[in-house]
Amino acid sequence: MTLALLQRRFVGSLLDGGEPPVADARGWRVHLGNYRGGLVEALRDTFERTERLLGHERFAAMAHAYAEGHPSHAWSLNGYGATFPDFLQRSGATLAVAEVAWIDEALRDAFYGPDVPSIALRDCPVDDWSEATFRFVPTVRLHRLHTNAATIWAALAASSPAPDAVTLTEPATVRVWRRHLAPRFATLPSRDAACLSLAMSGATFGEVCVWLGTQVPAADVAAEAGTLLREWFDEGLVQGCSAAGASR
Amino acid sequence: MEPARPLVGRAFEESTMAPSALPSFAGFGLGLRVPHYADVLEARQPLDFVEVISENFMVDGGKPLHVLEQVRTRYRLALHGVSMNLGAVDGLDATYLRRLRLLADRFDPLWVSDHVCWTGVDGIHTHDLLPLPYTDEALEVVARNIMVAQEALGRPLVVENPSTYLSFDGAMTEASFLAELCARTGCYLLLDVNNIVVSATNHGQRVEDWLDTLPVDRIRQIHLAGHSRGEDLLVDTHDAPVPSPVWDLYARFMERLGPVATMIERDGNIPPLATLLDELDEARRIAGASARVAA
Repeated sequence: MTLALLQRRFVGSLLDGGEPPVADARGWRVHLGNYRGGLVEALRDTFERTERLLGHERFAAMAHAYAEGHPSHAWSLNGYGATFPDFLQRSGATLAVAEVAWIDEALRDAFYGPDVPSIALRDCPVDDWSEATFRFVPTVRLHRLHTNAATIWAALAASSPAPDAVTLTEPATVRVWRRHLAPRFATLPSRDAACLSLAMSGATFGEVCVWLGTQVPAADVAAEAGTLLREWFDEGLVQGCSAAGASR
Repeated sequence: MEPARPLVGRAFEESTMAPSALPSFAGFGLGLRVPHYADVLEARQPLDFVEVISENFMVDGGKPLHVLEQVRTRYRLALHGVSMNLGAVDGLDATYLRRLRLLADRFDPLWVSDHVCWTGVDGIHTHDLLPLPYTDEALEVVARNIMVAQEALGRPLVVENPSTYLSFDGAMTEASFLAELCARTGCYLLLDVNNIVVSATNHGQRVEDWLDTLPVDRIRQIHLAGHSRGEDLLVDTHDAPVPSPVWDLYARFMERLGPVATMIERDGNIPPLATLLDELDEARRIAGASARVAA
């Protein structure tokens, strides 16, 4: 048997857990346990709060089922389980569980994200703010939640009893990012989320203000926009800004 | 994650890169794990070097690299990988090698090591150290991959004997296979004494085959660890203190070796750092006694 054929048969047997490809099955069972155990352990590491919410046994059952159908295609397990939140929902878990899992995964993603320093508002070389556009740090992600998953996640992280899951009357947006070395998330008021989403898509600050003017009285636009701008910088979201061709 | 691209190198005979000599380093260290980060950073510990798992730091950024920067200012460093897949029939992953090179260039390790095993095929990664048949074909594959890795990394590779739980028909013993790899590629050896005990016990082999066959002048590092007993097999779990058979074999090797780096590898049931430092003192005691015997 060629080495290639041996390897393909061996991996095939690990994936389906079926017939050992070798006469002595004892050693093969060690590797089968290592393979599946390694994937499940990676999920347990990333989805710590999801496991607390589901309970150890139910999480283990879900994780094993996921591992059986989702081999790893990367040499690192850091990103393994990116589709686990969707899998949970398809497998009968509640939407709140899937959304808690999304927060777990997004925070893990931010943990390993690129080191890109943020800048302070005072370092933004902009004279005409209406023309300013922003470059956000690469770990920033926005996601809409339909349940109180953010509150549940925070309670679980604090080792407090998780509140009952409820469906929100209006979806909420969470922002996940990393500030310095610490991954974070925050639930945003819908207007703030829309403004940030606009700015992240490349809109000028002037365009953001115009949109804001459709939501609040004209007299309040400047104050609200200023508050938003300070928050983006104070929270370490902005890595650069530019206006009229200038950039830093 | 960048897409994996196989890197199938030239046959090693055609390689223009002759690996440079790797100086020996005599010292005692630990495999650094997360529970001990604070201990090694808050006070200078009696460690000549620490070894870290390369893949844990082959990331875009964040806390792991930040911690490693601090560790490196205090300790010598060895990079130890688990995913190079030296037994890959379709060649090594160029993206993997590029990221490992970046890490090595940034942190200037004593050396870069990985295992004589395979970890996956056709783009599927098992994240396990799978056994190779010790055949001529496997020797050609692994030797070619080592040469590719050495060229990509710009330094000689150090390769480790794995624990094995099953064996295949092959023309060579594991020790002969390792010796031939060194001769063909100029690579060096990381001798895992626990893995020898595990493999020899599981396959009913004599440890003397390793003692008598391995080229001792190529050994740059030694791993010491514990194992557990599975279903009729010893399993390399790294979750227990170094047991007597491992200490005994370590002493026998140390009588034959020149300057070498020794470390304790612990991955499960991780005890307080002080417990591992006590184990390391036992290694120092044995190494000292062996040196006196050799003299």
